Amino acid sequence: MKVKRRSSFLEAWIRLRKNKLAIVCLAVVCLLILIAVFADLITPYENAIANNSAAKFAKPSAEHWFGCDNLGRDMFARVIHGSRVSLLLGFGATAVATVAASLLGSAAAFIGGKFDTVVMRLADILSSIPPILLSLAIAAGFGRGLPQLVISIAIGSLPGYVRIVRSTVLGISGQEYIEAARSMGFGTGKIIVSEILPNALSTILVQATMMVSANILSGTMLSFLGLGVPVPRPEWGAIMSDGLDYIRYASHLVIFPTIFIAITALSINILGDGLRDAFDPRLKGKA
Amino acid sequence: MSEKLLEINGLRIEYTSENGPAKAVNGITFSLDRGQSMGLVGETGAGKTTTALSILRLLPKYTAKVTGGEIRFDGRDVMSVSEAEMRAIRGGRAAMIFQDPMTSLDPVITVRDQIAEVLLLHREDLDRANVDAEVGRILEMVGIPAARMHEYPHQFSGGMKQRVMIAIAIACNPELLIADEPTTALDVTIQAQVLSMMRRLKRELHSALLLITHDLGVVASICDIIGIMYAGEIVEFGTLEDIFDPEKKHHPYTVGLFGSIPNLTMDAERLSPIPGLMPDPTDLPAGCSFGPRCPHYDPARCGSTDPVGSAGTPTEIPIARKGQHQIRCVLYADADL
Amino acid sequence: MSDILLACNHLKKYFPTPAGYLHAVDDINLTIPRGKTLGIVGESGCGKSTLGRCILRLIEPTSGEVLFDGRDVTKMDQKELHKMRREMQLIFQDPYASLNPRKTVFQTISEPMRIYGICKDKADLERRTLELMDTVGLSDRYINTYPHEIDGGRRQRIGIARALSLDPKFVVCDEPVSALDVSIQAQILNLMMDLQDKMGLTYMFITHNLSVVKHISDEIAVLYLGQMVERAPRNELFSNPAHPYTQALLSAIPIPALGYKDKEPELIRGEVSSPINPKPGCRFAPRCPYATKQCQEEQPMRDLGNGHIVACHRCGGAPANAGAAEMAAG
Repeated sequence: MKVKRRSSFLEAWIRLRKNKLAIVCLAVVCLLILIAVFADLITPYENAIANNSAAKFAKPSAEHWFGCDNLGRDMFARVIHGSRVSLLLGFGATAVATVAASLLGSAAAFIGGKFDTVVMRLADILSSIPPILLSLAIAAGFGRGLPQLVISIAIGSLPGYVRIVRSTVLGISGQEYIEAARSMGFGTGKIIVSEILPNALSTILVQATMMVSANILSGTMLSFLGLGVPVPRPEWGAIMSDGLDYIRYASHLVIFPTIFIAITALSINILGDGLRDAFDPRLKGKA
Repeated sequence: MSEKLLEINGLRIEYTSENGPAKAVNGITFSLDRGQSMGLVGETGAGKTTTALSILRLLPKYTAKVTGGEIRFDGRDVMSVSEAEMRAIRGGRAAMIFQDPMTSLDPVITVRDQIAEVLLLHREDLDRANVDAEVGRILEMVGIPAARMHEYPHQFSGGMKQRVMIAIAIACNPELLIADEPTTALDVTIQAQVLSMMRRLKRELHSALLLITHDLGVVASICDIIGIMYAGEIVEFGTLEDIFDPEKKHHPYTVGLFGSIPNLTMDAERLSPIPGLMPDPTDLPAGCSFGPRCPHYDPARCGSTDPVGSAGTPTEIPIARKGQHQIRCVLYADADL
Repeated sequence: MSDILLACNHLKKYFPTPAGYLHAVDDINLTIPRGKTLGIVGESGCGKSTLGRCILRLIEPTSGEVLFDGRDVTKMDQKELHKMRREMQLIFQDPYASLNPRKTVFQTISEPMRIYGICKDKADLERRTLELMDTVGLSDRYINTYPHEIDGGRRQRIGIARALSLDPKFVVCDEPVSALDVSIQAQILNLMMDLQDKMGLTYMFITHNLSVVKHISDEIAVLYLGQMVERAPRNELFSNPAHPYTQALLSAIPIPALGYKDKEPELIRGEVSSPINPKPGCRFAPRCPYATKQCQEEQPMRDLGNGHIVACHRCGGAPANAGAAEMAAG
């Protein structure tokens, strides 16, 4: 009998491949990322910001695939280039929040005592401040820009996230197999890395995928208040909120960015579910 | 009133599962007289609890299905009565005690209200003004001071909670009491107290008792008749004397079960366990379900150990009978018992 | 090398609670000879699991000493303790909760050996893991499976293989068969007794099941609310129980044989209370049918001879100093 030597990532990939829907969603997410990276090759950035009074509110046509907005800017170019900021906001803020929440949450749960109390009270304070106020404060302190926006969205989502990670880790560290690991002479670091985190992964992953779309929309809200990326740089949320004023006679201004936001959110959520199942050996052979 | 309170005839129950239908109960037949107590003994997955739940029609609606046989409670077919009639039977004429007293009581309702609820639902003769007195009387019957009726479940210890559960079950003087592992979660000295109380109640209330347990000791202390269940079948059935008398003939599984328990009164250096595991209910052998673990297994008579799917038609195992004693095994003919 | 592998002297563990200190383990003295089994019996809340974990220092004891092969476990620093863990192992009650659901059988069994660098290369590690699986009667086809794919009895075999992977001298077994069906229970009990013979293991077997403890133990200690009320060789305890609690415990077991139907055992009143700030004297006194005023004042240890020690002044015998353990350790 041969011991199978596969990393858990390889095994997860093998399980994920069986999930057709998740693979389709993975392809969609990859495509969106490629679009964002190669936006300049698809259509020049100029098209997205150049005003053209002759093409105001133009309906979708062969020349302007998605039509034009109130300033006659090409909607296709705006949506394509808008993906850069939107995806960066969605993924960037989520990544920052996930790393911070995992570290803080598991440390709070595992170390406990005073450290736990301090972290949780800080989270309480943070969650009592309205996110807009927080972003205002950050914009006031560090100026406006994409990095500031990413950080302020990440911080806004941190309190709830830390809480979820902490309670998950608390539940896992009460399990007997953690005690078994201690009785086998495993060190604290080894226990966190090889026993606790793999078991907490599914919760963290699902939370993260739900946050990606929420963060894109947070960016929209901040753009709307003028705290987002400076105009005329396109961003899905901003495009959508601009178009909202003209929805009655130029609905294409809202429809196209909305479709992109929806597709992104949906495929990331489904992919997240698939990943969670793929990383759980208990679901092996099912799905 | 007929003498037979509960009759079960060729009952079959399946659960739907991902690996196909799981055959939890495979044609069991027994009957229980009024005032009689029966023990249903078996290990995890033998189908004991499924059988009990089906009597009160409490099986999960979408995943479980009765595929054959009938259940008669006081002569009426349980499968065909209306849901309203069934509700009147449940908790009124037939009541159930569950294994875990910690989770079976509502934590935010006082003990008095939980018992009163059952009383008001099933006992129309009872005046609202007399409810407190009646609750007190029932609590005293299970050994709880009536003064504690206004307390919440968390104020009671595990053994006391199980007494409350029993109080709720006996509140309407049920004709049939089904107890699913009522003492398994309790410490041994508390178990002795609860068993002693159940014996007293049995004498006072004349209820029939269907006791489901894996503990042969508990059965020996309270039951008149016993069914040994294995893989959804009753492999041996008989009176307490039939089952526990080592001189009599027994099903190989019964022998294995007794050999597996460390005996307090005898010194055995080694236990004689049953090798192997219970068969997968989705994949039962075509022949005798105990065949794969049986020391007397004979392919010519017991049938194939391969699943029905690959080995064709199932082999019917004959049942040897003498009086009440029945053994489902090819080793014995009627005359052997 | 002394005959005594493990000795506890005045071992105590008090947990702080809002209502006061909970005396989970209160002044326990015991010794376990090499290659023997000490059974620890008691009902829920008697501190038997805490005792096992204090001995392994998975819980820090409040005071007292645990001498393992003459060295005091309670005074070891992290490095010494890490070394010591190889020799003292734990088998858990719950074969579901005690295995990491994300690790294969191979990972679970081999990881301790990797941590201690027992095997020189991967092939060696694989060979030893397969050997261990064979020892505990686990077919090698399970090597790549995950715990949820396996039944309770086999899971418990994995737990045993993991505990044996470091070649320990002493194993604390915390209710290892309580979660299993009787036919599987017997398989595991036989396995554990075979392993003891083969590997010269010393067991501390914690359980609430008196039939099981009688079957596997050489000596038995009965715990009640954190204190040891009686300790005796197995047959002596069962034929001659001296403490009223032990007597009640024995008479409460339902016997699977004819002639016990509708027989009322001698019941003891009430239920186990909790040992928070306990009063001096015998903790069983409130439930004891023979309790006198004296019981509320003191709880003397009596030595009835033949290694039979009981904490009850009703029993005759010479006063025993707790020192049986100390003498052995010295």
